[in-house]
Amino acid sequence: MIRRAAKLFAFATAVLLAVGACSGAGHERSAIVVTTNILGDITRAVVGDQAEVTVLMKPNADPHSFGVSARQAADLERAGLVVYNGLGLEEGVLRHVRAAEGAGVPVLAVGDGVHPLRYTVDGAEGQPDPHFWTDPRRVRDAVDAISKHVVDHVDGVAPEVIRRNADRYRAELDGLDASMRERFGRIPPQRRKLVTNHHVFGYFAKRFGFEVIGAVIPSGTTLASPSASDLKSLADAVRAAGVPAIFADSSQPDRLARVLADQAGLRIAVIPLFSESLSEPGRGAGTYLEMMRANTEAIAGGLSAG
Amino acid sequence: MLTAVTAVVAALSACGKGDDAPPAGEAPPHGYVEGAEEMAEAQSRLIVADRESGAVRVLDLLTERVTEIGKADGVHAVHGDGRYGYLTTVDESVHVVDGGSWMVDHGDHVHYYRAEARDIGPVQGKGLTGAHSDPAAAVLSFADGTTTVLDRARLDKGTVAVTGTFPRAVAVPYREHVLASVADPGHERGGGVEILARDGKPVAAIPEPCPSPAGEAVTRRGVVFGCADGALLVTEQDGVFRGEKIHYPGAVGEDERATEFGYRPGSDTLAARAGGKAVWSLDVSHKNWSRQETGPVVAAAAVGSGGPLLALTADGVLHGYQRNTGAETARVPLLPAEVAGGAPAPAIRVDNTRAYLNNPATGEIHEIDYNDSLRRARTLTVPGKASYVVETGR
Repeated sequence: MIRRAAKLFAFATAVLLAVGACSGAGHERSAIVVTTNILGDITRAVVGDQAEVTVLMKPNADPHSFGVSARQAADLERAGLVVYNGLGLEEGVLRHVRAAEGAGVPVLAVGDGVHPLRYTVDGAEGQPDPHFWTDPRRVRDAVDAISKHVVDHVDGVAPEVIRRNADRYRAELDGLDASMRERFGRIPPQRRKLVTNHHVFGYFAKRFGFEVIGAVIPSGTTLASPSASDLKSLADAVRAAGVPAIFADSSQPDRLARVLADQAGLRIAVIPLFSESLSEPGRGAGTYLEMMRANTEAIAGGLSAG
Repeated sequence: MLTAVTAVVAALSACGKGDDAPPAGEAPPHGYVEGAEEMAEAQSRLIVADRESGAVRVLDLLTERVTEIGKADGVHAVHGDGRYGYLTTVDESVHVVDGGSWMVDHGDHVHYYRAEARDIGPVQGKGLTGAHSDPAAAVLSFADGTTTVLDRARLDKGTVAVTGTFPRAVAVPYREHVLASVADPGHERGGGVEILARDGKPVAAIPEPCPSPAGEAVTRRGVVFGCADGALLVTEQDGVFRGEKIHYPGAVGEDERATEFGYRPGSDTLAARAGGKAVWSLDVSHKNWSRQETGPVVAAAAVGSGGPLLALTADGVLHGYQRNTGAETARVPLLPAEVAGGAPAPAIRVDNTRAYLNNPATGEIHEIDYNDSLRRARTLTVPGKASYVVETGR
């Protein structure tokens, strides 16, 4: 109650100052704006009820190409802290983040503090891989950076509460990491292979000893009337890997599995994973921890079968 | 509390002007497309126009559903940029339709989107010869030597907004600029290629000449312009644009040169008719041309990446040729001769897995598996005639 009153007073004073300055630099900077929903969930876990956290990217959206409204852009420039990935992920909002930075808003590029991996694929060679959240230990690094920046830059938060929240969340991440290692440890090493069309599992593979085998998943028009040649690249990859499941975004996973059986004699499961976005609450990946547990179950279950 | 409220009002009125202040209501996010959905895979569709009725339809190749989206009276040509269809109509303007499916290339991976197909509206201009888009601009080239630039963001919201018209014959958006062949006003063709800002302001010129430019293609290795003496490949690195001529293997007459390229988007190999009885194949990576004898040819397209060179001959047979050896690897009769040799001419459209060939006399469109001896995978049918076809979502 006392804190609240102080806040109101600070607000009134700050706005009065703003009239003179027109820069907005004087008002209380207590709001946190986060670009992607995965980082948003992690930031909320750290911040708790200590400040308002706004997430720009909606559930089930694409972090590469989501945009912001004029109001969100204005919020960015008035924020106490902007948290973003920074490794080339949020192409659509980067200029707004830069504008906020130019207006004096503290910004945290979380990716800078997680020891990013570099792509080795053609065309993106040497570029940092932005999908660090597939490794919970790197998310732990992210939590360190977020909690430090919140304490340093956001007005009106109790540092001890932020640190306590961060400790609690780090413990959750440690638990997640341990349970993933335990779960994947039960998969025979020669089966720890992800045949997939997802491009986000580089960090995951490095952390948990998986091999990612990129595969072309036959598309909708191909599946309408497929031949063996359409499936050759995928079937060869599956045979070479010797796995009972592939992890693919496909609009017709059942049809793909049936076609692989009919045309290539391969009996495998086609299993979807969450990759770049949380789902709506209650749809399997409402939070980061939920998303990771769901993927862990899907991968471990898929590769242990057969 | 009252003080605070008053102060906020004062602050807004004092600082609101010239500021990017948000409007009272929640504005839609920048770049947001109403109803657009990201999809796991290519959302291949065909925009199909009926010359007789003017009906414009979109055929979804995944669901086989046909959507009527509008009417373009007297349509007699169609161009596509991967999402929009640009229909040349009887009043010599261009009618724009949104196929509602597109692809965004992020280098190491791509994103596929789907939305409702819809009618957009007309753009002034006579005799469209080419249409190409990047995320900021849709650039239309006309036979009278003018170029029109449309604001792509506005187009994505359903509005035609011309941001520039300037005298250039063949123009392509590339690396935040527009590459265009130089033409004097009123002349169809020029002699070289310039780099322009999107508003038409000249930035630089390519020193290598391109006599009488006609035909253009956008590849991963650069933009190709067809010239009287070969192809001019324009590339960009660190803000510097360079031109390199890929000369024809010998002297090639005006009636034998490439003036229109058929290719799979993303392919480094292009195809073009070489007069009436042969097809050119241009390998942009290895920078050489090869000529394939085909007999009387109606349409040609390249698959690239080791895939066949496709040619439809006037007898209605689709041929596949291996580029390096010139060997014919497959032939499939698909259209009656009177249709293949008639008008409008059928077209071959190629994507990453299939090719499409329309029968302008009926509503049939053949789907060809070019990696499987030109196997006819499906024959799809739209109501009316499939006079003109372009593909979207690729």
